[in-house]
Amino acid sequence: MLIRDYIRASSLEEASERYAAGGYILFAGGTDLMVKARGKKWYQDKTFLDISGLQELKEIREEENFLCVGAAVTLTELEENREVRERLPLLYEAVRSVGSTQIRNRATLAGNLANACPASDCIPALVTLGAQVEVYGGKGKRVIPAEQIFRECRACLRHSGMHVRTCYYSDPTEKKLILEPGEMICGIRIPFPKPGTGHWFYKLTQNRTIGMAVMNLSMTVEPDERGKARRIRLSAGGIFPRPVCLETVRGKNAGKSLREACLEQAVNAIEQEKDLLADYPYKRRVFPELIEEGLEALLPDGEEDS
Amino acid sequence: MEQAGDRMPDRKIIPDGKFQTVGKSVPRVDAFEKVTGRAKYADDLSMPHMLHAVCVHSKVPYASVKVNAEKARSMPGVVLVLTEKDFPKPQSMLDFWYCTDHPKFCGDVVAVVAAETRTQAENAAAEVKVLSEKLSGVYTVQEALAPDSPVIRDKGVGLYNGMPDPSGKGNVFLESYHPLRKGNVADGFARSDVILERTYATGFVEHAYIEPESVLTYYDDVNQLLTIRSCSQQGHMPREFVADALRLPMNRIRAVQCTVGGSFGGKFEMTGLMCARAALVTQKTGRPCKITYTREDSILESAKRHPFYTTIRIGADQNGKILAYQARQLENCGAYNNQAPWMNIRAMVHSAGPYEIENVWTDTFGVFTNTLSPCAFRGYSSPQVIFGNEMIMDELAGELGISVLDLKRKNLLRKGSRTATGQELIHETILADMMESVAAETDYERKEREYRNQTGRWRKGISLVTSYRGSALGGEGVDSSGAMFTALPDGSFILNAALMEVGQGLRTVYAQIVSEASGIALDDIMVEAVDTHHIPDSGLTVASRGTAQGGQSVKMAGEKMKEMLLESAAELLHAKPEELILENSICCVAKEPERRITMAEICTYRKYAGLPLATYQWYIPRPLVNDEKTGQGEAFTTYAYGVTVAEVLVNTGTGEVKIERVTAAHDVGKAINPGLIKGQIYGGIMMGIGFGLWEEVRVPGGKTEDTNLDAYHIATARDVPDIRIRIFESRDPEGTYGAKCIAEAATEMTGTAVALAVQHAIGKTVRRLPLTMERIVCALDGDAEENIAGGLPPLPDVR
Amino acid sequence: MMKEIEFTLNGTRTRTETQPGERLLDLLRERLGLTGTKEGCGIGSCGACTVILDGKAVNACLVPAQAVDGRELVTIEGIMQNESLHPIQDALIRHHAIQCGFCTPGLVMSAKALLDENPDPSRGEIQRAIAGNLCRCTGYEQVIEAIQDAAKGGKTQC
Repeated sequence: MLIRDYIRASSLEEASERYAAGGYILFAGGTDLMVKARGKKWYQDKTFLDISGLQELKEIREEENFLCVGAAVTLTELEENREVRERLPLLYEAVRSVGSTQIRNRATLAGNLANACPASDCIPALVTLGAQVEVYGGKGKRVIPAEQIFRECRACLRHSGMHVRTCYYSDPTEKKLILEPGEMICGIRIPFPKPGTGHWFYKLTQNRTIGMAVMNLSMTVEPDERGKARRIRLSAGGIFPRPVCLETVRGKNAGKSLREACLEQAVNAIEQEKDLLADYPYKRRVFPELIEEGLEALLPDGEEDS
Repeated sequence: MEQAGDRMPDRKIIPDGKFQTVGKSVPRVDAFEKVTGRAKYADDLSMPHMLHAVCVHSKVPYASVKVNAEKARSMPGVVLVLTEKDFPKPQSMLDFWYCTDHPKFCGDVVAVVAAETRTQAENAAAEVKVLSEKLSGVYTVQEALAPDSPVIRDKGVGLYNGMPDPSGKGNVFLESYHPLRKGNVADGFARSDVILERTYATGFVEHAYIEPESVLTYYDDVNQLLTIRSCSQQGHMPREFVADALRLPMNRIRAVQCTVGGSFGGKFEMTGLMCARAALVTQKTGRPCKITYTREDSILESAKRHPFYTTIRIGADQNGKILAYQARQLENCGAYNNQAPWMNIRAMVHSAGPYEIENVWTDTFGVFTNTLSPCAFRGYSSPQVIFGNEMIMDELAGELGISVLDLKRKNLLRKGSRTATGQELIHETILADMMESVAAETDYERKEREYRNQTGRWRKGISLVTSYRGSALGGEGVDSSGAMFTALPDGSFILNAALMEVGQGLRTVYAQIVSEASGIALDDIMVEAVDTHHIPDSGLTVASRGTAQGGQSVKMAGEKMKEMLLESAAELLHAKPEELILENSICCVAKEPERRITMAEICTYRKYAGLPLATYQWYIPRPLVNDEKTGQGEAFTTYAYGVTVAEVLVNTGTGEVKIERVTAAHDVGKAINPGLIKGQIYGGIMMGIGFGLWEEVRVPGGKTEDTNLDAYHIATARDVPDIRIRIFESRDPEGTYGAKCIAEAATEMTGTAVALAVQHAIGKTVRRLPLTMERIVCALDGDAEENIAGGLPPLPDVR
Repeated sequence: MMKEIEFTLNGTRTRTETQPGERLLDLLRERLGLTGTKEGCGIGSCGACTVILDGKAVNACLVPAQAVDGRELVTIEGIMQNESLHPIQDALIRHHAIQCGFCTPGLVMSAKALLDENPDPSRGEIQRAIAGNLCRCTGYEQVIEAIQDAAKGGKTQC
């Protein structure tokens, strides 16, 4: 592995100052960075700036209707957190599906987001839930909706398997997120869904590998006051050049049922990317199947009215 | 027999009870070192002043290259850079190159960089400039066989009437050609009511042993022997490679085995090449040299399971009696496959499946391509052969409108049957009984009927596969073996044998065999690692021969030792040898057990009496006679039989497959250590599932990106279905204590069983492995009529 | 540019030099001679290098050596007490759950991390806990049975 140096940050301010000055790569769990550093010489002039020890980034706390997850919180810590398990089951399942126990013990939610891989398991879940990203920089903190933080990255979709080892980007935070120079992710705020919201997470893989998904799907169905499905939100990994949330609301679908409208929207979205997916006919073919499976699970029979 | 994890008792044909240690699941003799991390694998060794070398692979699959190492040589820590011209003999005796300027696949090595540290060697290797003049190559067998395709090997020949033709040039590997001719197939087809012709295909599969290759060479401190410590699965082959490459007398080179982290057939040629590269560095510098491959190096250069295109024409009467069987087994040999001439003996012998068929005509041969390097891989072609055999049996049953079980009942090999090579099965042949037993236990026939008309997203499927396997090497090669058993004055013993412990448990099994034969207690026996200067070569650790045939000389050595011990004990106890018993290291007069003597007393006596304390025994199997032109004759001394039932769930939307249950029945002859046998079968099944569903190294245009375990997936613990193992024993006089083979039998049926079960679930035929989600969805969409046979020559006209 | 780090290794305060870019795996194998931790892939896919860092199983190939400064590390060399096997090790032997042995130390560490936190795991929890430890020989079945047995006190005779 080739890096110039490795240091531990002593405070968020110090980390931010150094990061803004250049020459540093933010390092939390390192499960992506260490893989990239092994095969390539991308970081021989860079210093890994380890923020995983910063106490202020290690908290999971409830704030109004949000769960706030610090940038140094590992996926295992989330998996073991009762609030996550009980009140954010979609995120819980997405987190549990990442890599192996060893990976989740090191990897962070913020790192998963910062690596901005289109096949990430957590990003679609965060986008579906309407999560917000807390960013810290020279001008202080700001909050960006998760769905809006990503740049489109078409090259990634041509990347077979989307493995970390063969990733095209040395610093996705810089290239694939819309952050200003020196800005860093310090936390993620996830709103708790309305009570009664149904969720569906599915990771499609060839075998029960610890590797990347071929595709994944995150979906929520929010009920109205009478408990009837009102709004479907979904996001998928492995198939779009930028994480998108597709939302379908009952009664706004020109006479189509919620289910039909949801499916149609998804099919249209994927058709727009058909050139990009030219080498992956399977993904285009199967994406609606994944959604149908989710809808079957989440929409009980007799919900077919418009 | 023990029952770990099983709900149903294992069936046993013969009761045992006369054995002391044979038949018992004793723990492995090497378990303690391995479970504590103290076992040393090649990369765990290091020596003072050791150099680290890195191999530079060709980035172009077929080229003429110029290597410019000027910059690399000037980099920090670099000691030397070797290219083809530095090797006294750059091409090995097994066709592969130690180092070449004319790479024929991406795994060919064009330079070797040695430096003080591994990082320095890696950095310098990245600076070796390789100027490649690309040559026009062939990257599929279809391309290789196309008219006017480039001829990539001088020894390649052409085809005439679908068979190799020595008078023409082309890419066919003539030495790998094995025809099988039995009866009159034209007549058989003429009498058939149904004739089917189908083509089936399989892909490149990686061994994926968890230990990547590593070798270490150095001059020893006594004789200046060039010493090799390596991960080779062959104890003696590293010596031959180094002697060959460096043109040194073999007695100046010593290979001592390390703990081997899995091999499955793959740690042979490439490991030998690595030994020679390191040895040249040691020879040139006088310093120890280690080469440890990254996983990427390993997957790129190492051997693979070779892809098959099997075209079968099968004819049967309306009752389901098979009357004629014609097949062409065409394999992708890569640029070198030196083992194809032997592998194809096995492929030829088994080409018609475990069925008694009067008229058989098969042609088996390899085709050179600039792809990867296929060599031996657990099964030695049998998983590919079984895929063709069993898939067409299923299609034939469908065509005849009878159940596949009935089709098999009419055709399976039984005692007294003649195999495709005309060999009469003279020993107990329990395949049909095994099939009935497994079918009943799994409720196969009911499920098979019930699952036919399913709707819904997830659908169930079930399959039943039968196979037979020639035990050990048989007609493929030399199946002799030697063993030395040495007594020490304190009553402890050392066994030296020349076949290798590679994880399969051979040292444990040898300890059991020699203990059984000699009467020495297991705890008093040390089974030594293989050392070329301690024990003569006994051939290769391959073909699941270690127990069945390799064990024969071990047993002989045990028996001879017992004779020696009893002779001295008789003298010391003033009795006749035949009056004594020797069991569990206790020797006494049978009728007066208090008249006893310890092993230490006997051995010390022999030492001071000047009597031999060691015996070396050599086993020569009975000769087998086979006609090369027709394949007719006795191919193996005996056969092992197997039945596998797979039960799956298939998601018809996505093509996902969940394997619910695998029931595997194996006729092992005599189970020497049932616990180890079950380990072989569990592992074989998980490997077979990968072969069936997802494992493939893709090589578009001769290049591959599937070079680490992120892209090349092997089964994880979460993939393990409900596995039920049934060990059958049969009376068979051929192997050691009646043992047959298991290591390869354990994996050969599973891939096909899983594919057949998927086919059953989705109601569409599938003809290519691995049966990925994508291929399943295509099959469901009716796109599976991809023309697998396209670009392949037609079957030979047999009229 | 060598740096000194100090950490608890198998219960002993350990001070050693390291340099940037060195992985924990290199530190253990090359500097400290602890070769029980193996390298199978270098990218966190195989788990042969699993060690326990502050109570959690991690891949030593994905941890910079410097990151263990001040922390507590347990490797395969550190889990025997007075030369007697850990119950997981004992169970693996009894269940024939070891073949080539290259993945075994990593498996032992993953299983230990699991049982330390969850003394009575279900079969599914065991499968999940060791899904990051690839084994090509055993097919996992006997490994899973051994871990179940170790959790239940390690009494099954096999």
